[in-house]
Amino acid sequence: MLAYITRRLVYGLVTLLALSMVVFGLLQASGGGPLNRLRLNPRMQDLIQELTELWGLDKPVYQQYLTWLKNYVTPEEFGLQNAIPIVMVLAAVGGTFLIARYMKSHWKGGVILLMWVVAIIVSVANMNIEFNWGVSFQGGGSVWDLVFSRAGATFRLGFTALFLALLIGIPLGIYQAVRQYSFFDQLGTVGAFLMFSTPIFVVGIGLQIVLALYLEKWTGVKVFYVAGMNEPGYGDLSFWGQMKDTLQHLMLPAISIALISLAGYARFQRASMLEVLHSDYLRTAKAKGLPRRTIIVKHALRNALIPIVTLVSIDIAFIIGGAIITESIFGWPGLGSLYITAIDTVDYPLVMAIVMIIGIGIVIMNIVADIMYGVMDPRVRYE
Amino acid sequence: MSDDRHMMDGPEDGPIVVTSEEHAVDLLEAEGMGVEPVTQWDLFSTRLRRHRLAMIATFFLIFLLVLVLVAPVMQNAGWIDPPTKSLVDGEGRILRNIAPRGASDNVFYSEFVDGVETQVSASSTALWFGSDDLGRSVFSRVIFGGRASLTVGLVAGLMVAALGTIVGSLAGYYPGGVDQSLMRFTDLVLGLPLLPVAIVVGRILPELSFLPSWLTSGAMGIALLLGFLSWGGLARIVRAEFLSLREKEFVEAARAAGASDRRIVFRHILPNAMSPIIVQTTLIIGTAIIVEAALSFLGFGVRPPTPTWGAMVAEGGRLAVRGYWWGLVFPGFALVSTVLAINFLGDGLRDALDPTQTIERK
Amino acid sequence: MTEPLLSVDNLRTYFSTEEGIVRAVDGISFDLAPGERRGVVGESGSGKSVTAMSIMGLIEPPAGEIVTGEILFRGQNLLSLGEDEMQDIRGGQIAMIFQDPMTALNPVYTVGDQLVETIVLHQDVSKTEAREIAIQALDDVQIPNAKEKLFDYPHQFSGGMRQRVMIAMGLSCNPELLIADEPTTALDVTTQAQIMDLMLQLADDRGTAVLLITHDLGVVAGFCDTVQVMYAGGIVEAGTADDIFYNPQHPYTWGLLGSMARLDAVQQDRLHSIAGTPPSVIDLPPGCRFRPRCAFATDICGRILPQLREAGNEGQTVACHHADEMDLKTLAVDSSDRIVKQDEVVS
Repeated sequence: MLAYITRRLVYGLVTLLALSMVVFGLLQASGGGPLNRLRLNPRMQDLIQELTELWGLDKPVYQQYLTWLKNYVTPEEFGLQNAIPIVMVLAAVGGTFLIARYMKSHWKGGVILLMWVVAIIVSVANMNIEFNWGVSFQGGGSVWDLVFSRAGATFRLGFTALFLALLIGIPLGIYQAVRQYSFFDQLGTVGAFLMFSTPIFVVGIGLQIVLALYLEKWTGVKVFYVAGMNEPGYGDLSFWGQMKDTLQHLMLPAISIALISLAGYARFQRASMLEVLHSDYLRTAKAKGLPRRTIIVKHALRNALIPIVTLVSIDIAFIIGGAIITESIFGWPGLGSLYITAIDTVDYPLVMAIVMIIGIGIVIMNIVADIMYGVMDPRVRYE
Repeated sequence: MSDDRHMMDGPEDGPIVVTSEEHAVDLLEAEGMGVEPVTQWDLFSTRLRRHRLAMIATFFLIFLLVLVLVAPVMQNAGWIDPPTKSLVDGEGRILRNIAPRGASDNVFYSEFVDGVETQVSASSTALWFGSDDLGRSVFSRVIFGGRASLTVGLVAGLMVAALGTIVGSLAGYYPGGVDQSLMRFTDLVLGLPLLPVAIVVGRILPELSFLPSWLTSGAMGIALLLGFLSWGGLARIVRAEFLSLREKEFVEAARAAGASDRRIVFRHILPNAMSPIIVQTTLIIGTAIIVEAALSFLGFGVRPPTPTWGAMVAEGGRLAVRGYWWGLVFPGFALVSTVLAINFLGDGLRDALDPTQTIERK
Repeated sequence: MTEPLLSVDNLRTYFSTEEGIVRAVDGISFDLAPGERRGVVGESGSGKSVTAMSIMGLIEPPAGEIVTGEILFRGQNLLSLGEDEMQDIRGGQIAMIFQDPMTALNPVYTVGDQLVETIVLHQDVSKTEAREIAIQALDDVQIPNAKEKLFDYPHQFSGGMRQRVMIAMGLSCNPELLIADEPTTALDVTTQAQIMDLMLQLADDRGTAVLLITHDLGVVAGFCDTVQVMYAGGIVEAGTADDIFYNPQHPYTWGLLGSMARLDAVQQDRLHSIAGTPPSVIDLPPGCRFRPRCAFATDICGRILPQLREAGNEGQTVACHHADEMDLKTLAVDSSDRIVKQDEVVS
């Protein structure tokens, strides 16, 4: 298993290198150098000077790339306490290996998961690391600071959307499979097709106009806000007021993202559940005289959730990294809308930083998906 | 889909007299003789025709394809208005259904419904879907916008089908070094996050002056970009099909009979792998149309003034505050129904092409 | 004969498909005494498995439906029972073993979990006691190291071992009837006999009646007391194993026996098959279903479906209009595999 994960990590690193080269190359190819458009602005002379020195922008492209790469992966501050996360992760890896090998209980999947959650929380809490990812051309200061000031908003939106999608999509798919060909099932199928076929910006704009703009126009009551994450006077509100304000801003973009994921989950869960419902072992369970509830919940669901776990793991990376369109529609101050502004101005340190975060997220979640699959399905062996 | 079939109340009892002719027919049928041969194509078309939604979708897509193909002809004939020119009424005023952004001095505009009252040239299709804030016919723009979407869908789809099939076949038929290196490359392409990379390319495409202009400004560049980023999944599927098919008895038999590699691949393996190729390509076409629309929505796709559905939705969204619903609803509806039709067609094809699927339902 | 344990009367199970109504089981009746071993023989599609599924109450509407009939188990009509009562009987009093042991066990639970689950369900025992019973059950089916094997997942067992687990699961609650649906078809030839022996020995020890569904006449000859032969959804002949093997009355039974490899058959120079194919149970021909393949078919066979009636030895029943008239000993097989009278053979 360790060998397998190591191999996947190496492939992941190669993919990330390729991604960085492609994007770096493309950005360099635009208009002859990243600083060209800055030269139009006389106030930017200092910044141009600084950046030219920092990245050696007068040097050949491959040297600039190597400089960027070195800066990107070399931590600026690396205190002793950063040993804690490393030790935690190593311990979790070792623990996973030992439990998977020697523990004899069907709870071992849960134990492994719990161990990793603890390890990651402790690691993040003790992380004090900073990279020199450069300076934004917009004069927004350090890219590292800019990215991390925006990351929280993206996570809030992404996880709310994921939570909604899982909460509705999976039970929906299961219900559809159990009541196959019922009216509800067919309604769900048509609905899912509709959702797949609707681009996220159509959903977003539609929700924004109907539920935020016109609902207020017609009823005079502000239910949802058109854009933003919080109102300016947020700090002065009571706890419940803050809660309400947060939800009023959060729900529409979260629903926009959730609807499309939800359709995918429901569809996938339905197919996987149907396959399980027609399996021989379910017939055995019935022939044993188990009540229908136990058959569905214990025997069918446990098997039917295996493929969906993989799907969701990979989807997390895309939800987090892919809120680009939704964030720009709803003016959500996250990484996605930052990415759009960065691209618009070819602010290449910022573009590179965000694109690489998305890439890293996808690589990590792919590996997590594989591990989860192995935890859920005892038949899987990593080779 | 609905289960409107009911049980019969039990078999008929009592003697049934049959003539000797019927007896003979029974005998023949019981021995598998005298039965009309059923070809794969018959089965496929029967199944597809039974899929009602897929049939509707097919007709819709054919209609749309014809419509966008003849759109320039219709424009030349004066049946529809040019999509990029402002319409004027008899007094030379720009025919807007909505106030232009900024100053609205000395311009005529009316609400959508009032458009009927103004004098316009005989061909003005603005009367149907209204016009935008520059006085361009939304109807024409929706039709011409379909050209970008369908170009991107079809070109990207063809490219994915070609690249995916070639790479997947080579990897699946020649195991070892060829397979390994091709699949590593496929993994690499699959590892690139589609939307973020597409946005970067879409942004800088017009600035790549060394490329010909048809590639940098129109739908073609976006189509090729999306095609190149999306073939990985199909290559994996085709490879898996090849790996399993090359071990099958009929391939062994062909090989034993001395068939060449070329013949085995084109006569024996590829026809059996067609079903996932067709279905996957259909789905990619839908995705490509959505991604192109998203790029145009963000302003990194096909450049204005060329109309695209994505850009029209973005415009409609920005002007929605001022009641500009027709500029949002019509392109949005066109986009969703096109992708929906493609997905229904894909679903129908999947059902119809699955040779292992019995007509009997469990 | 004592009161039958299981009595099936005029059972009809139909499936609705897009091509029409499939009459998978079309009016069959038979009795099974306590402790009896009955073989159900027939080609695939003859309705053997559907009979078993009907008894277990595993036919799922709307696709399949038991249209008419009675299934009396210890005098109680199973078809009139509610789902709750049926659950008590399934796995408790009637257990079933399926064809493919590779897929019949849930892959994500250990063998122990799945055994204990059944035992706790039907017996009034604690989990710990159930585990003891499970270990005993695995011991009984001769699985070595039963105690440790309890924690293994199904994929860690071979096919034969998995079928042993299935038998252990089936018999762990001491059922009165065990339905085995081709239990050895998916296994190696070498393990087939072992498993069959083991299963029937254990059933004997417990006094469990067995309904053995198979297409393998050799298995029936070796292990069963009585046999019923099914063809296209109906029973064409039933009787003791000796009756069927030494005094078959139905041309189809005769054909089946002829298609079987026998070591003692000296004069047989080749195996033959029965010409033609079984009719589709969607468009059943009127009259006798075997008629298109039968050399003796006369006018009446085309008109009236023959019912089971006594013929041959005492207690032997056959569904054929001409059972008494024809002498099956004079049957032969011509060059096109058609069953004909001996004097009609053209070579």
